[in-house]
Amino acid sequence: MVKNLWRFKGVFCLMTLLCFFLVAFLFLLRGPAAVGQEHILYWGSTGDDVVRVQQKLSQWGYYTGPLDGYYAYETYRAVQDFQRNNGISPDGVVDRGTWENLGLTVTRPVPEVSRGAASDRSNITLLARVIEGEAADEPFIGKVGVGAVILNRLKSASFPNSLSSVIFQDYAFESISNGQAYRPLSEESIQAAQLAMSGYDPTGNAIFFWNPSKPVSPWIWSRNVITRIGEHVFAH
Amino acid sequence: MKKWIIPAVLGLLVLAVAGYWGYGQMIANRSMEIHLNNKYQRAFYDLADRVQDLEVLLSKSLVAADPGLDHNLLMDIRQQAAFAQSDLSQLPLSGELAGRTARFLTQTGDYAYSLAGRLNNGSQIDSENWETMNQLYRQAVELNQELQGVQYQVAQNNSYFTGLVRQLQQNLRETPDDVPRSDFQKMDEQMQRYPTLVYDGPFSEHLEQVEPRALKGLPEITPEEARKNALAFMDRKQEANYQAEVTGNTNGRIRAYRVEVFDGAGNSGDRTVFDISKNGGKVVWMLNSRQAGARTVDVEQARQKALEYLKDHGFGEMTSTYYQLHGNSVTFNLAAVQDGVIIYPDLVKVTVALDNGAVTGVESAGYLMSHRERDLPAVKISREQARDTINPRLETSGGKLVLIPKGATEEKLVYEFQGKLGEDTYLIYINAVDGREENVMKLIETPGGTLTM
Repeated sequence: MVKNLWRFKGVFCLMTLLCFFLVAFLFLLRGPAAVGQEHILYWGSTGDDVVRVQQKLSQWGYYTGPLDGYYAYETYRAVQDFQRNNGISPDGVVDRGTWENLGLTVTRPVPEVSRGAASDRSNITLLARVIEGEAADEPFIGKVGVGAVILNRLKSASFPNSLSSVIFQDYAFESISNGQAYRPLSEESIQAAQLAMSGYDPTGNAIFFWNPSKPVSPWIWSRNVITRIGEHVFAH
Repeated sequence: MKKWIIPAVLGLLVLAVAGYWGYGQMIANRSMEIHLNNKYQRAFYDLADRVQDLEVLLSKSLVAADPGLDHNLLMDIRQQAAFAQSDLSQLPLSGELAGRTARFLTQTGDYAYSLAGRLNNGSQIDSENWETMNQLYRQAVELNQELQGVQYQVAQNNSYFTGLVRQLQQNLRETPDDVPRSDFQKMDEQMQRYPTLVYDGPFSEHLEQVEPRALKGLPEITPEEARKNALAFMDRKQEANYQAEVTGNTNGRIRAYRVEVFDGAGNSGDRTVFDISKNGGKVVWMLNSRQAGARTVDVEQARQKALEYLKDHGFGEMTSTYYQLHGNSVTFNLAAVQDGVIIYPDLVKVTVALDNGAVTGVESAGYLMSHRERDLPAVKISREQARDTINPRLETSGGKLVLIPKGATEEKLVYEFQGKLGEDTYLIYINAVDGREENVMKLIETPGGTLTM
């Protein structure tokens, strides 16, 4: 009984292996067929597309040979005759023009390109975080201003060139260093981030801002002050 | 005797627990510090490697003669500079400590890229370009030497960077003069001497001194006129009693008066803020902070409103090119039109509230910087010829004549085609004068609007 089961197991193994090979073989077969999805046919072409052309040509009396899917001499002559009768230069090549004249619509070769997944959502959230952290109590314009400063830094040679590097640069934003920026986002901060992203810049191209009532490095006052919005001074 | 034994045991127990907890904290703290130090060291050694590569590549580009090889070297320079810049930004240095070094890296990469672009267009690298590259090379050598000096210190002292962090934190609290200058500060000061670079790239220095073209030669206005202009730019919905006052100045590239407009009949929360340019009294930007309520207006009506608003306020012919929804508002990009050609560089953004259809924001700084009557070049390539140069895999449509910005200062007259590949849509720009494919943009549909990337 035990021995019987063993033999059964062996057969089972063999069958799975066979199944596997079969699937692999099918894939191998599919390979060249997929590659041969060529829409221009000429001497030497093979496949279903050739059969379609041969069918059409034999219906219309140009072709008398077998519908074998091989583009050889007889097919070549038939195509030439057909082209001559239809005012196409008789080159014996089934290109787009000949396909159309044969009344066979060629499905346009659409390469397999999946839809992209790029979006700007993460950037808006990131920008809104800093706005929330740095300017939660500022007027709306001041919030847009903070967003604009971050985006202006992206365009400045002295700062990193990606949004995340600008925001997470050490000592760039206090609210990022002390975690204030990780508070829940308010609707207003998101709106301000979106407006800044769409190009609003109430700061006149500033790349620094600070609150003069808080201790700041005296160095910062050597910058060109552009304007003041709410509690913040904006400078270049 | 027994009286003190219980408190003593309890006290010892508390002490032991506190000690155990404190020890655990110390261990955790130390491992965090080591972890942080390792991250900083990695960034630092990466930076040193990249700068070394940069130095070698720059020197190679000085001797390479074949344009193809030179092009590859320049692209490598750009890449290494970008990597170095990214490594630098991960070190614990504030902008004031590494700003010049960052600037050197960005501009070197950007300059190399603009030279590579020149080579692509078939032009040569002239002796002026060569001299600039030579100066950049010498600067890179100096930077490399400085970094090697720091490297020695980092190798000696494993907690070099956490020391730097402490120093920086002190620096923020005290006046910086008392604190010894860090190595990086010295390095950054070295960078002061490198040449001013003027070239056709987004980080070129001369771009910071560009004057607003649309305001050239316009007379300076008084604050009183600014007040009046702001009132004129208000999108009056109902007959409210608007009042305006000048509340400040902006001394950016476009000098302006800050004007605030509010409804005199109370409701002081609803303020509209303006920047009105001192030259010519044009609106630079305007923004109302009111949050829009439930939508009653659709995007198409809002678009008409935005176009009408610009027409009423003297903007000439404009066309809407793109919009983005945010909350219950929508922001349109509107471009100028000249002789039927869409002028993309001259862009005004108009925000319309979708609850009452009022214009709540205008942004025209870009427009004021670049708008002027242009001499458009003669078209030499037909639309069909242009279409034939497009990748045949795309299903193309459209073909409007538009003007697009190219590089930092150039503008190109091109045909704009929409191309579909699978589900993705692209914009293809074919030069209408020489037939070159100038740019390919990808359109990305989001719930809020269509992005181009």
